[in-house]
Amino acid sequence: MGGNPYQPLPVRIERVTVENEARDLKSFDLRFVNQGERERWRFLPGQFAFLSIAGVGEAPFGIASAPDEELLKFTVKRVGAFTTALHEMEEGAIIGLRGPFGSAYPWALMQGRDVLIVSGGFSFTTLRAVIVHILKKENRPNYGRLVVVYGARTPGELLYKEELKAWKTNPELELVLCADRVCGGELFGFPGPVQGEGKDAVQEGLVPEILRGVEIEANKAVALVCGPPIMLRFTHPVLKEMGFKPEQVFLSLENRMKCGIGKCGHCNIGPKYVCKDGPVFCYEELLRLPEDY
Amino acid sequence: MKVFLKNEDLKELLERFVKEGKLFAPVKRGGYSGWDRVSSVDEIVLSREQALLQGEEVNTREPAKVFVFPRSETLFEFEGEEAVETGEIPEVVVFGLRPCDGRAMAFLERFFVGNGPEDPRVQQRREKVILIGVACNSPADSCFCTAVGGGPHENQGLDVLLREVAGGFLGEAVTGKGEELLTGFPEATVQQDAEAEKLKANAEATLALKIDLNRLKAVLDNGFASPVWERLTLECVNCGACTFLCPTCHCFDVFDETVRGRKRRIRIWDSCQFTLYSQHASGHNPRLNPAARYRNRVMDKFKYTVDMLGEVSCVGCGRCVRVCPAGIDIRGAVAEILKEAAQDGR
Amino acid sequence: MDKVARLRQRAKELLEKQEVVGVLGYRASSRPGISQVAFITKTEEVDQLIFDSTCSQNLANYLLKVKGKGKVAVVARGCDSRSIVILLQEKQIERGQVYILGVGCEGVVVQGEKSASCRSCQYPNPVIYDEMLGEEIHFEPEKVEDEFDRLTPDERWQILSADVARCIRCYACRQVCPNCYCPVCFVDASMPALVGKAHDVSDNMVFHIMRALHMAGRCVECGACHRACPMGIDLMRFNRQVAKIVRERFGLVAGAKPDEMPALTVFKPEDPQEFIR
Repeated sequence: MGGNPYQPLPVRIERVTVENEARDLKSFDLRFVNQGERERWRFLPGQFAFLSIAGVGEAPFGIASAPDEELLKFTVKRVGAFTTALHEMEEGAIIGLRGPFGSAYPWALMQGRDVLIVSGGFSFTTLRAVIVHILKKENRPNYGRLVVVYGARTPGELLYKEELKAWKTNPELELVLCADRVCGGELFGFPGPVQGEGKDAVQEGLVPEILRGVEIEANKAVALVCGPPIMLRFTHPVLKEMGFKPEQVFLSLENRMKCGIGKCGHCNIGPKYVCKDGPVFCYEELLRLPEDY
Repeated sequence: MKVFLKNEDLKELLERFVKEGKLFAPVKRGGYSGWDRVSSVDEIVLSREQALLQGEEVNTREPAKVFVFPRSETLFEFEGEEAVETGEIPEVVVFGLRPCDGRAMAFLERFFVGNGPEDPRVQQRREKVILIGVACNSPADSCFCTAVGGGPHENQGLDVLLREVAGGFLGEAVTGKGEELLTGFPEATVQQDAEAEKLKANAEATLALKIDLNRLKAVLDNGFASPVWERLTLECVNCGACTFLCPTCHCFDVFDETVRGRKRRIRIWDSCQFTLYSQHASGHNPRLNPAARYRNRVMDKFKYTVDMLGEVSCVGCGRCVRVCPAGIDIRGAVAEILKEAAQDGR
Repeated sequence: MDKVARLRQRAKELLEKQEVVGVLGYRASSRPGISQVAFITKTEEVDQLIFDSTCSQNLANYLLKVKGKGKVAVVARGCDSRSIVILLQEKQIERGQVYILGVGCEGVVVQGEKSASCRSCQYPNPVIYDEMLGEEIHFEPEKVEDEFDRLTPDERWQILSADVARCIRCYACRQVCPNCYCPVCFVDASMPALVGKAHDVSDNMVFHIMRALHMAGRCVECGACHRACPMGIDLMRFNRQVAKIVRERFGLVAGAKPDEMPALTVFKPEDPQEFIR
C-alpha cells in the first residue's frame, strides 16, 4: 500500500441488498473504478477497510467478501451520520475505499485444522469471507471440518440468507443457526422455526448455549469468534469447557477508529491498536492486555 | 563544533527569516507566551532569560508540535469523490523552543513517520521546519525534564541548540540544516564553553525530581486495576487542556465538512480525556468512567509508548501541570502510584 | 476560631455523626497558585481542607460528579451558592442532598492579581446555606469600566476574533462550568452537526457565543471558565455581556434569589418585547 494512507480510492456501488427485517442492515457490493487498483488491493479475510463519502465522512467495516470474489462486499448497519448517508446511496453511485487494514485471521495456523466459527449478530461479516474462502474448491482440502455456529436476535436478523440456505445443504461445512427468539412463520424465505429439531432449522437459544451442543475435537481445531462484547464474555467459558486453549481462540474486536493505521490513538487497548495490531487478536494475547475494550 | 553568536549575529541571522515571513518565536501574551509569526525581529526578546524576567513563562503555551501537527489541517478537498491533497506546506523557522519540545518533536517524528505507514503531512512538515532551540538556564518549578531522561541543555530533535551565555549564544548544530545555519560563525572559546557547562550544571541542580522509570513501568504493567486511579481523578474535569498542550500527545479526529459547496476532510486534535473519544458506534464506551480516561493518559506516557516504541513519551515540560484547571500534577500522580505499589510490597 | 479551623472542625463532626458521606471542599495542590478540589470522606483527612484565595474552582460543578453517593456537605461562597441555586432550580440536585457550609470570600488571586470577575463581585457571601463558617465579607466591588461597550460592532468583532482565534477547543471552560451538564454538548452533535470543529475563527466564535447564550440567566460570573482557559482568552467578556442584558431587561441576576426562577424559564406580561411589531 503505497501513496497516502489517508487517501480513498474510488469504487462504484454495483449492488445493494437489504439484509434484515428491520431494514437497517444493507450489503454493498463494490467494484473498483480503476481495475489496476483492484489488482494491487490484496487482502485476507479478517481485515477491514474504510468506506468514505466525500463531505460526509468515513467509517471502518470488516471485509465480507473473499479475496477471489469479483466484487468487494461490505455489510453496514445504519447507526449515525455516515451510515445513514451510505444507506441512502443507490446502485451506480461512487464512494471511496481505503485499506486494507489490520490483521487477518490466522490462516497459517488454520492449515490442516478444523475451523470452528462462532458468531453473533452482524459481526458475521468477516466470517462470511472466511467461509467463502475455505469453501473455494482449491482451498477446501487445506482445512479439516468447517463448523459454523451463527446466531442473531431473530431469524429475520440473520445476514446472507440466500447463502445460508445453500450452505445448510452443502456437505463441505456444518452450519448451525440459532436465534434468541424464534417466532412463527417463514421470514425472508427462511424455513420456519422448529425448536431443537435437527440441524435443518433455526434453533432457539443464545449462541453460547447452542455452541455447547457442538461436538468438536478442540485439540485439532482453531476457533474464530466474532460478536458483541456480551456474547464474547459468555462464549469464552464454553470454549474452555470444550477444551480450547486461549492460543487456539481468535477474536475479532471492534473499536472507535479514525485513521486505521495506528496514528490517531482512538482504538488503543493498552499499547496495542485494534486497527494495526488487530482487529484479530489471539485470546491468549488479549488476556495479557488491560480490559480497556 | 560549537560556535559563538553575538546577540547582534543572532539578530541578523533571524532577520533573514523574518523578511521571508517564515520566523515564529515566543511572543508575550498576558502572563505567558505563545507562538507568533514575527514581522519584526524587535518583537522577539532574544534573550530567553530576559523574557523570563519580563514575565513570560519558561515555555510557550502551545507546544512546538503545532509546526508539524497543527491544531487542525485539511487532509483533502474533494472533487466529486476524488480526494485531492491541498495546501502547500510552507517553510517555517522556529526560534526559542526548549530542549523538552525538541525531544518531543523527535518522538513525534518516530511515531508518525518511523512507525508503520508514514503520515505524509507530518513528514512533509518536519522536512520544511527548522528548529532553533534555546537551552534552559532557569527551569521553572513545574519543569522535570531530567526525571524523564531529558535535560535543560539537551539537543535531541532540534536542528540547532543555542545556549545563552554572556553577550550571546553558544551554538551547536545537530543536523545538516543546523550546520548550514551556523556556517561562518567563529568557534566558541574555552571560557564560553565552560560558562555554558556551568549554567547547564546550575540548571540541572534545580531539577531535583527523580523518577525510577523502570520501576514505574513495572508497576504500571500490573497497575490497571489499582484503586489509585479513582482516588486521583475526582478533581479531573476531563477537558483537553493537558493533552492539547502536551508536546507528545498525537491523537486526532477526522471528519468531513462542506463549506460553501467545497467538501473537505479535516483532522483536528482529539483527546482521550473526552468522553466521546472512546464511544463505539454501538453505544458501548469502554472508558465511561473518568478515572479510566485519566489512567489511559498516564499509562500511555509511561508504559504504552515504552511498549510500542521503547521510550517514555512524557518529556517533563510541565505544561499540563501549569494549565490544569483542577490543579492536578502528573508528578503527584506518578508518586501516588509508586507509593501505593511500595505499600503493597510491589 | 478562624474559618479554616471551623471548616475542618465541622467537617469532622459531620463525618463522625454520619450526617454526610463526604465533604466537598478544597485542598492545596502541588502548584502554589491553585487549589485542588477535595472530596473528604474520612475524618483523618479533614486537615487537608483549606480555604483561601487559591480556591479557583466552582464547587457546584463537582456536586454533579458526586451525585448519587448520598448527602454531601459543600463549601460555598457567593458564586458557588448561586450556582447551587441554579442547579436546584433546574432540578439537577435536591436540597436535601446538600449541606451547605457557607463562607464569605475575598476573591480568587491568580498570578498575584485578583481575578477579574472577583474584583467586580457583588455577591461575596452565600445566598443560601445551612451554616456560615465565619463572618460575612463586605467590600466595594469595582465598577467594570468597559471600554468595549463604547466600541462599534466592527471594532468589537476585531477584538473578539483576535481573542477566540487562540481557542484550541479544549473545552476546559465548559468542563469547569456547573451549568454545562448536558450529556451531549451541542459541539459534539453530529446529526445534524451544529458547529464546525476545525481551528477556524468563525467556528470558535460560534462555540463561545452559543455557550454564552446558553448561560443567559444562569451564569453567575464566577470566572472559573476564564481561570481555566489555558490560552488566556477573556471569556468573561461574553458572559458579562449576556448577564448584563438579562439584568437590564428582566431585572434578574442568576441564582441571587433562591425563590426566584431563572430568567429564561419565566414569562411575565410586562417583559420587554419590542421585537414583536
